[in-house]
Formats: sequence, structure tokens, C-alpha cells
Amino acid sequence: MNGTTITRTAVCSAGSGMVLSDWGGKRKWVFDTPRGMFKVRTKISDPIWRKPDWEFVSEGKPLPTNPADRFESGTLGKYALYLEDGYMIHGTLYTRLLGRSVTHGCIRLGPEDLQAVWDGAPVGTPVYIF
Amino acid sequence: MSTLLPTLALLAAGLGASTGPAPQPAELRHLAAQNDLLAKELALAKGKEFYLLADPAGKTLKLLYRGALLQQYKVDGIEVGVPQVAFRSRVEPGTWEGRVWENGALDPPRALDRIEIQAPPPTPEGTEIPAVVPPTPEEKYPVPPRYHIRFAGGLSIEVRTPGPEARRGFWGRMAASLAAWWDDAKAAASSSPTDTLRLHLSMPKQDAESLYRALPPETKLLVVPQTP
Repeated sequence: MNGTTITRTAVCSAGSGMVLSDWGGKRKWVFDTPRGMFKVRTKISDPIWRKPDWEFVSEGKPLPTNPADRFESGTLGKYALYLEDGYMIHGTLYTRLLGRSVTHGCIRLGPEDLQAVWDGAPVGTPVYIF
Repeated sequence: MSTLLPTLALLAAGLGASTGPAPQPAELRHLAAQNDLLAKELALAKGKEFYLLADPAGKTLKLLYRGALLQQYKVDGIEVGVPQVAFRSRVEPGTWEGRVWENGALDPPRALDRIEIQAPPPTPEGTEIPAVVPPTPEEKYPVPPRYHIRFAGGLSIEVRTPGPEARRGFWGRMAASLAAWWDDAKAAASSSPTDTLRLHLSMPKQDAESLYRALPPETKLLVVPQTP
């Protein structure tokens, strides 16, 4: 938006609302996208994803002992815009799932829309999620 | 003395300019009401809740957060309905506009069917979990053709969409109207919910569905007075 003028609309994916418990039932994750106002804190091109614990837990894999095993490139698309609390706006390999609630809380965009957001949203840009 | 005279003349002219006709009491009341409304909008903009701004005169409904316009819904028509008990209104006319209504909630509520997953036991190879394509929001949250946003204190927004009855003939529309009337009568006869005032909003289907699917919990509402 520019003022009150909508300059572009895009289909995105947001949090699934799913609740994941680990095998022992000791840890629990809720995959919601928070509502509210956030700001773009950092912008990273060719972002590398540091897989959180829930990614391994959900796949029935043990948590890696080698920290390097957590890193994966390409998954987040070409760009990532970091908001507060670890949430991001990033790309996706699964563009067919855009428009559905499938993420772990981040906001996924298709490549063209992500490029437009990357070009048009400098650090400090407010992001309203509702 | 010669330089003092022009100065005094200028001062007199300045005083003369500032003492125009005194504002009329009606104008003062209007300005005070406008200021009061702006103060409430400012308080809402400083708060941490989402809020709706309904303007019956302008036929608009806006969703805002911290003063930023997030969505403007197209409204085809707004009517104000005041339920009456023994031919007397439940609320004093004029006390509901320009007031901040809180804790807006959808009725019927939007179902939040959380799926809980127990992770499989960890193995070195991991476990292949079959991918499930979740439904779209349109599939997941069906929107009733008529729903309410009820606020604490008794104000209710009733949202109607032009449903299939709009395409029906006279008798079809009459039947739909009677069904709606019967629902209202049943609601009025029961002790809950206790609407003291209703805003009937007719909205295009797309806007009504968008509002239903996106309305944040505990939204506030400010109704712009028609004659502030």
C-alpha cells in the first residue's frame, strides 16, 4: 500500500494453525502467524534456512548433533524479509500451495510477488498482518 | 509619539480582526462533538486492538489497526434497527453513535479447527509423513449468508449478503424474509443474545465473506455519528 492506495495484491500462505507435539509429549509448537504490526528488520538475499527443532521432530528424525546439519539453502526462495520474533516473508518451492494455510508461521509469497516486496519494502517498512 | 501611533493603530487592527462574530452555540456543539470523535479515533489508533470504523452516512466499513487502514469493505446499505420492548426502545436514541464498542465477536463463530499432531518416534532415517493438501480458506471457512458481529454492551452488526433468494421470485424472497423475521423473533424471545441495537449491513458477497474470514478477535467498533 501507498498511503491508502493498494498498489499490489498477492496470494500468500500463512500459518497452518496446527499443533505439533513431540514424541514424548514434552514440547509443543503452535504454527500460527501472529496478527498485528511488525517492521521489516533485515533483508537477506539467497537466504539459508536454519531448521528449527520442530522440523526434525515433525519428520521423526533425531535432533542433529552437528549444527551444520541444520542449514539448508534454496528452501526459502530468493529473498527473506525478517520481521520480529523470527517470522519472515520469504519465497517457496511449493507455489501450488499458495493461498492455503500451510506454513509454520512465516508468510510465503510467489517469486514475482516476493520480488515486488523485496524491491518496494526497505528495512523499517511496517507490515500489518490481519 | 509619532512612531507610537502607527503601532497602536496596527494593534487595534489586529484586535479588530480577532474579534469576529462569536460562534453560534450549535457550531460550538458541532466542533466539540467532532473533537470528541477525533479523540476517540486517536485513542483507538494508539491501542493494540483492531477496530472497525462504521460510517452510516458514507456507507463504509473500515478495518483499521493503529490508525492504518487495512481493509475497506463496500457497503450497499446500512440500516439501524432498535429492538423494542413493549413499544419502547432498549437504548436511548443517540447514545450509541460516537461510542467505542468493545469485544466484537462473530456469531456464528468462525471455527478454528486446530489439528493436533503427535510426532512419530525419531529414527535415523526419519519417518515419511504423507503430505496433506489443506483446504483453502474459502473451503475451510464457509460463510453464512447472514451473520452477526456482537459487541459487549448490546450493539450488533448484522451482515447480509445477496444470497440465492435475490435471484428467486417474489414468493422465494418472501419466504426468505419470513425465515429471517422468525429467526429475529426467536432471538428476541430468548434471554441471550441481548441485542439492544442492530446495524444491518448489506454487503457484496465477496466483501461480506472477506470480513467474516478476516475479522480479528475482540475487535472494537466506533460508529461515526451522522450529525456530529
